[in-house]
Amino acid sequence: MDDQDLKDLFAPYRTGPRAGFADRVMHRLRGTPDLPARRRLLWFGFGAELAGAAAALWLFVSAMNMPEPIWFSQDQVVPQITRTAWVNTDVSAYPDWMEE
Amino acid sequence: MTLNAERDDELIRQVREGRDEPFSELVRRHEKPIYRVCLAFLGDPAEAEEAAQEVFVRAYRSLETFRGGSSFKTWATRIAVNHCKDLLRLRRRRSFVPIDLFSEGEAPHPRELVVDPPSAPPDGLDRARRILDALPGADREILILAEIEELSYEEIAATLKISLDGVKGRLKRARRRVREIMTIKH
Repeated sequence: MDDQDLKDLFAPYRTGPRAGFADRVMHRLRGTPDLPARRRLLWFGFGAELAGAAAALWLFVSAMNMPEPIWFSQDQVVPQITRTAWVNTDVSAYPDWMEE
Repeated sequence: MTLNAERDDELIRQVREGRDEPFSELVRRHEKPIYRVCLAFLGDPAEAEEAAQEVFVRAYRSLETFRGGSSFKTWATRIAVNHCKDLLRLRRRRSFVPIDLFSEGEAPHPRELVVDPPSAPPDGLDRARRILDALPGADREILILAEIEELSYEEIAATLKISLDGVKGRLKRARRRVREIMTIKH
C-alpha cells in the first residue's frame, strides 16, 4: 500500500460544506455583538460609571457647602407638645466638639 | 482592491475596525479546510457543518487575541481540532456503545475491528471513517491534517504545537497503522 492508496482512501473527505456556508456563519454571528460594538459598549459603560461617580461627588460637595435649611433648627423640629420637656435643656444637633 | 485579492491579515485588520464583509470573505476562503477537519473528526456531514460554523464563530470572537504569529488558516485549524476533540469527548460520555468495543482513549488492536457484514459494503466515507475511528487519537489527528487537510509538515507542527521531527515520527507511525488495518480488512 503506497501513499497514493492513502490519498485515495481519504479522498471522500476532501469535500466542502453546503452552499451558502459563509452566509450561515454571518447570520449566526449577527447574534453575537461584534468586536467594535462590544468595545464601544465597554467605553460607554465606563463613561456612565465615571459620570455617575462625578455626579455623586458633586452632590456631596454641594450638600456640604449648602447652608442649613431654616426648618432644620432644633426648636422648629421639636413639636409644641413636647416643648416643655426640652425647657432648660441644652440640646444640640451637634456634639460638643463640633460647636464653635 | 477587491476583498478576494486582499491578504488574510489585511482582512483581519478590517474586521477589527468593525467591518463584517471581510470576515465573510475569510470564511469563504477557509470554509473547506475547516469543514474537512471537522468531517474527518466527527464523521457526520451535518455535525461537521455545525462544528465548522462554531469554529468560525469562535475565531471571530477571539480575533483580538490573534497575534499573527501563524497564518489564519493554521490558527483556525487549531481551533477546529480542539473543538472537535471536545465534541468527541462529550460524545463518548453520552454514548451507549458497549465498552468492550473500545476503551477511553485507546484504539482496539487492528485485529479486533468489527468487520462489516458482507451484505452492506461501506461507502468510501464510511470506510475511511471506520479506519480513522480505529486509530489512537494522536495518529488520527495527524493523519487528518496530513492526508485530508494536506498541510505541510511545518503547518502541522504549528497547528499541533509539536516539533517537525515529532510530526514526521507520528505521521510515519500513523501511516503504518493505517496500512496494517487496511491489510487486515482485506
